Amino acid sequence: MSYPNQTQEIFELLSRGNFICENSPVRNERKLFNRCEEEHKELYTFFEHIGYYLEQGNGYYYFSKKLQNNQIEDKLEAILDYIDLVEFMLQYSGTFGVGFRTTVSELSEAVKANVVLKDRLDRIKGSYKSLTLHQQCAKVLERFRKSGYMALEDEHEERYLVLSSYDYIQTFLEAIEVPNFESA
Amino acid sequence: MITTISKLLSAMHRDRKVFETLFEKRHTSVAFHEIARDIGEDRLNFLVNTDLIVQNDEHIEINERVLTFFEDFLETNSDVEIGDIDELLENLVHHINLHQNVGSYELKERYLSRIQRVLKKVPNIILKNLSLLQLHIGLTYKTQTAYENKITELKHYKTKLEKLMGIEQKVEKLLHDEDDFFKTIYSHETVMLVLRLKGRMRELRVSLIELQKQVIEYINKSLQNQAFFEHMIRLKELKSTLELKERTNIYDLVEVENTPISLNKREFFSTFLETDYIYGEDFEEIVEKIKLNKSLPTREVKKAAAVEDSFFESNDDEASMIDTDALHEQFIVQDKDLFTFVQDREFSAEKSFEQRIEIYCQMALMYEDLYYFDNHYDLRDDYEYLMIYAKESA
Repeated sequence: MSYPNQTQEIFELLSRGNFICENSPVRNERKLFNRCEEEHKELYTFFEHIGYYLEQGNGYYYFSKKLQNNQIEDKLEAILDYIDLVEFMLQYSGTFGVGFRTTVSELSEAVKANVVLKDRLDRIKGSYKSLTLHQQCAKVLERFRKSGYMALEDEHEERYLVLSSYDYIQTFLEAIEVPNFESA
Repeated sequence: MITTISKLLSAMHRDRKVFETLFEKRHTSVAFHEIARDIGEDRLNFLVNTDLIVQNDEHIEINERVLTFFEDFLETNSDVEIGDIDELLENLVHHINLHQNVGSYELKERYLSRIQRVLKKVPNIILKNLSLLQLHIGLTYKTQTAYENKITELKHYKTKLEKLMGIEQKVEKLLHDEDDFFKTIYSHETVMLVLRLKGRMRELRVSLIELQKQVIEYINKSLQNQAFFEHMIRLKELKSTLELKERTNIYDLVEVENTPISLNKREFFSTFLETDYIYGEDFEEIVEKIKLNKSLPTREVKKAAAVEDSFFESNDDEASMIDTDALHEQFIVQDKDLFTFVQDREFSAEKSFEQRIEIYCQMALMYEDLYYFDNHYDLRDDYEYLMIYAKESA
């Protein structure tokens, strides 16, 4: 059985918890995405042997592993954090979603002009008031980037792009069933 | 009242500056005295009297009909107006009927020219409206931030677009219905216009369908996004009242196995650092920094020269050595004389008679002091030998 040349590259990227996204600003990653798409079956079987599952999303690929019991709590915590983060970004712009672009300055300007946003920002975990507003905003976007849901498209302008992997978070949050408020 | 083109043009030409100013400021109000200051009250009053300019209290503006003409001609009107086309089409049918029914050549020519005008106008109007719609739809979707307005506006443009598509079909139908007329018409120019119109309509149809798809997609996306936003607000409320875990299915969802590994924070490894510190968000950064600042000593490992092959070839020389000390120890605890002892002793390697004699001599020389030399000789195989015994005291 033969495997694509980039198997190692794909493994190195994904095993570090990254996503391979269709709309990545890095050309090579887009190439790898195509590779994954073409040879998904082969790659899946290959990585399955070493305990990694090559999962396919809407425009992205990632690795998943069997969850340990204590990891379930961690995942829950992480998801709860994302509720705050995503809600904050949606308050900032209704169009927040895959393909959305923003700069740190734009975000901090918007926060300056909107008390609700300011309040939300201060309540986000790890967002300390001792930081400057700009730093606080940068931190929020950086968190999305570190978890692989955003990419720093332009370092100079500090412009971030929401990657297709964000779809995972959105789908997850959408799937949470909210009880009817009338019956509450 | 002005009734001829030349009078109209000359009146407008004389005060063209005023028209230009008023046209530029058509969306704001301009005070009477502002203009009167420049050209004098008399001339302005004249313009008002001729109906070219309309005065409301203190404010003046260009007559609506003139303004429309300017906007149409300069193509600066940014509103989408579709109703006109309907009327134009009705006129077209009307003129075609008239053209067919009149006998006089002159009258036929007059109707024909009207028909041609409509044929020229229709595609231009549709095209203009189409590009305007495209612009508005794109702008609304991208810039309108309030959800309610965005969706209302997009829906508004969608109805306009559908109307425009209706018009397009009407034109199509008309061309089909009047096919006989256009086929038998003698005027080459008209035939060309009809052909061009048909081609244009084909192009427009494609663009219209494309745009319709787009606007529907935009509306769906906006609706979806709005639903998601409302959903998030509820989640946030549940989270802040700490009811999220109790009242939703979040636990079931978390247990689903397709979790990206970036969400499984905890990996087990042993370290001397405090665990809180490692799972902190800045840990990665800190490690990166330290890695940059501290250059770890790299040890160069020199390679040894290649081992020669001959090293591996075995060319051992075997030689057996006699442990004389051990032999001596054995000799002194027994009773035989040295020669008989050496001859009878079994060695690990086979020894000849001569070799045994050699050993006998070696022993005698080495341990001379410890042996008792008897002056009595014995004989074996033509060799005469001295009887040597271990000293009793030794």
